[in-house]
Amino acid sequence: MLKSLPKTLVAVAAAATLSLGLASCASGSTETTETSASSTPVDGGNIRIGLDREVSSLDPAAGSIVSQTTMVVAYTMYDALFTYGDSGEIVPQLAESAMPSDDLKTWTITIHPDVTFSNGDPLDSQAVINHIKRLQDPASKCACAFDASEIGAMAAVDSTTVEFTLNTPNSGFLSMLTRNLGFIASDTAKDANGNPLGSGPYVLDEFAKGTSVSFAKRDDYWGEAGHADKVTFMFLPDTDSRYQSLVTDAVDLIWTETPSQYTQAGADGLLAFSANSATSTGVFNTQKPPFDNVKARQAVQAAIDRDALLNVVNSGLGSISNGPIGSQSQYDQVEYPAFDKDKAKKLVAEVGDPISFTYTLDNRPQSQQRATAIQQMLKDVGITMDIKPLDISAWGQALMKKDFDMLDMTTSLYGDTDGALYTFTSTSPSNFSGLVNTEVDTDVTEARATGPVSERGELYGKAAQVIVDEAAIAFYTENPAGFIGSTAIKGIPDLSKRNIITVRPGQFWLDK
Amino acid sequence: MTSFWLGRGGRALAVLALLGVFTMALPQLIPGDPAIAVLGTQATPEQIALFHSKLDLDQNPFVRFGNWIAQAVQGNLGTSLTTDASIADEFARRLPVTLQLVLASQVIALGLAIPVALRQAWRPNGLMDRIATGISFVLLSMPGFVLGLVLIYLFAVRLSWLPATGWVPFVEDPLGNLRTLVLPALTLGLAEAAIYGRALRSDLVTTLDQPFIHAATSRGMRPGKILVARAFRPSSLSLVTLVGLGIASSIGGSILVETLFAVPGMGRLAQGAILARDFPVIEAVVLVAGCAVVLMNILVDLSYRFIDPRITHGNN
Repeated sequence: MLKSLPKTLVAVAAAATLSLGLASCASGSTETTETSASSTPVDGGNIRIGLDREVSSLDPAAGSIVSQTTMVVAYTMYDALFTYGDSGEIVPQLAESAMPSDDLKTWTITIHPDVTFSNGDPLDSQAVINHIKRLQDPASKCACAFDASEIGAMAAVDSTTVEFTLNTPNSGFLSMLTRNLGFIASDTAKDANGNPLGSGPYVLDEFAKGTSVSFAKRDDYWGEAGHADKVTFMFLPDTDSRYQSLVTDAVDLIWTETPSQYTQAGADGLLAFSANSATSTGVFNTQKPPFDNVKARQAVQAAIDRDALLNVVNSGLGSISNGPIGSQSQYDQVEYPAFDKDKAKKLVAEVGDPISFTYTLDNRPQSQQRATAIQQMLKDVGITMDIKPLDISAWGQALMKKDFDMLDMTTSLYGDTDGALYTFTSTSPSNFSGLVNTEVDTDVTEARATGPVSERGELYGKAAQVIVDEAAIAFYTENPAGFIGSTAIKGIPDLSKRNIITVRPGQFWLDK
Repeated sequence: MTSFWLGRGGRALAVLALLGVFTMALPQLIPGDPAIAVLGTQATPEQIALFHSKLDLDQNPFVRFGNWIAQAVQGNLGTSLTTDASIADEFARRLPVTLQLVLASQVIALGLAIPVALRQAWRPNGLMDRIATGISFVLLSMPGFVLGLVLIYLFAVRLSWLPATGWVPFVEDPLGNLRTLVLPALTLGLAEAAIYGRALRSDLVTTLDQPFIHAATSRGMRPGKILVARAFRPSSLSLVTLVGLGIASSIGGSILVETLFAVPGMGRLAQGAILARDFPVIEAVVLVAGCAVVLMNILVDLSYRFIDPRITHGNN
């Protein structure tokens, strides 16, 4: 746990998040979530994990191992400076402590001593600085560039202490050190095949591109050694055959975001470990007709039956989403308008002109099911919606260029409330709805400069309520995501309270 | 023969040049900025500009194709935008996998189609013919991924004979390689077998009604010999054409089957590249697949001369 923290850091220190936030917002766990932590660890064996996509690079800068799905790979060969605890709170892993200045602009982070990369080189404060500098360099092509640009300067105070000076105060700074920036790779050495080196409990054994990547246990790991001798990730992109691979014992654990598989798992004698960590939303383009009119946005918001979406798309699993503060957030959620057809019809009448628009979505089956259901709901209140499916790349471009009327977006962004609310400020490059609201700007900026969780939560609550009232984004559902495993795999923690799923395979073991 | 080679070679080069220029125009034609696909939605404008510059997106397709050819003849197919890996190295890993899959599927397809079609053609509308026709219609109407799932359920889930997914390289474990090869090859091969069988049966029925077959029959030649030694060769023109097209179109990879069975072949590479707008990889895959199609077409044309010597090319 963090130590030597001033009172203002209670906000970001791990323990505080537990006591202040979660008790009031515990609606999100799915019925499928289980834990396999209750037996005596057994060392040895090879844990085989089926992923839904290919890992193309093991460099944290490349982004291939830092999505929620693939972070399990990163946690095998790297340590993160900070990670998420069982209740979704940020806790140190490679770091030992974090201390912000009173103005939350300067953060002093101490890392564990005697940490080494897998080649024996020390992972010290300079290695941390070098890693982050590499990712700040545009040549690294890291998608974390915007986050990294918030760091104005870094200095090595001693061999285990780094002082970060931010360009603006940010109470949520530590959450930036949970992904690319936090997985420290050596910048001075690589393995014989040019793969980066990490400091995690496993070291790369074999990278069969397109097929699998396997890791062997490190004998000289600085922390608690992994249980399995080997961890192998297999790239199994097809949802159905990945599940069948688990049924036939070809793998021990699979990643899935398909609700029907969570319901099927019990019947097949399998265990599910999931969290509602992916939020489905509809982003309005508030800068062009018809959704430059707030009443048009509110009409759509009122016409969408989120419970029906939960049943139709998610097989009833997960929970409805009530705004930018997620159900597992440490901050209190805000009031979200109830499904109300009459109100929607009234708003449509107040808009005057017929509301007709195009709904842009990616081509995943769940997105298409959702779009079809919403189309019918809107038709019932006199709104015409055309559906425009795009492949993920064209969808991304539409999002970035704001080339849409309304856009379907499922994201794990809302697992990090501090980061998510910042995207609604008018200057954020991720302000996809284009909402410009001085109240939101003021509240979020002030919250980022505020230490205590309760005060920050109040400011975030005000901003979130404005975002919901202004209907910048229609929030639909929080969807289950996570793992399904055989009964032989143990050591997987309860994920049901997680905002973002981060698990460490070193803690798993096989009990066959 | 020389004129044949000159004519076909010239046309092949023209086709490939056209394909190359069209392929190099893809970044401008396809919606979706590769910079966003690769760098993510939080990429800065500076990063996006740097990325575009690296990709030469401002150059016209003719210049880009010329540059590509100049590098390709030196064995450099470029570098993946998403992984920074050499595309030639990636092909060296993926192409043998796809070729093995294609070869195995063709062996299965021909191994099933030829004997069944011979038997069907000998007694058209007989019991065997009707059963085989029914099965081939089922296979033809079933999408590949459905057939694959059925095979997984049967051989992996119910019988536990074969793995549902995965791939073991031949050099690592030949037996393991065979086990991982069977289901994807069967999925591709069964569908091809239905097509080949229908075409061959139809041609055989026509051939078996020719006077030279009747003459052979009247001389007392055994049915098996008539079918294999007399009727099969002149009836195989359509089959050879279909096999050539089947192989050629598979060199670029079968995305559905490779995805379903997690086979690390060209199809998976192409699919990932398309989704990530990894244009150097897309361009290389399209051009290699294009070369395969052109080459197979030439080989098919050549094979006609051996199947039926009356068919000649060029001035003869």
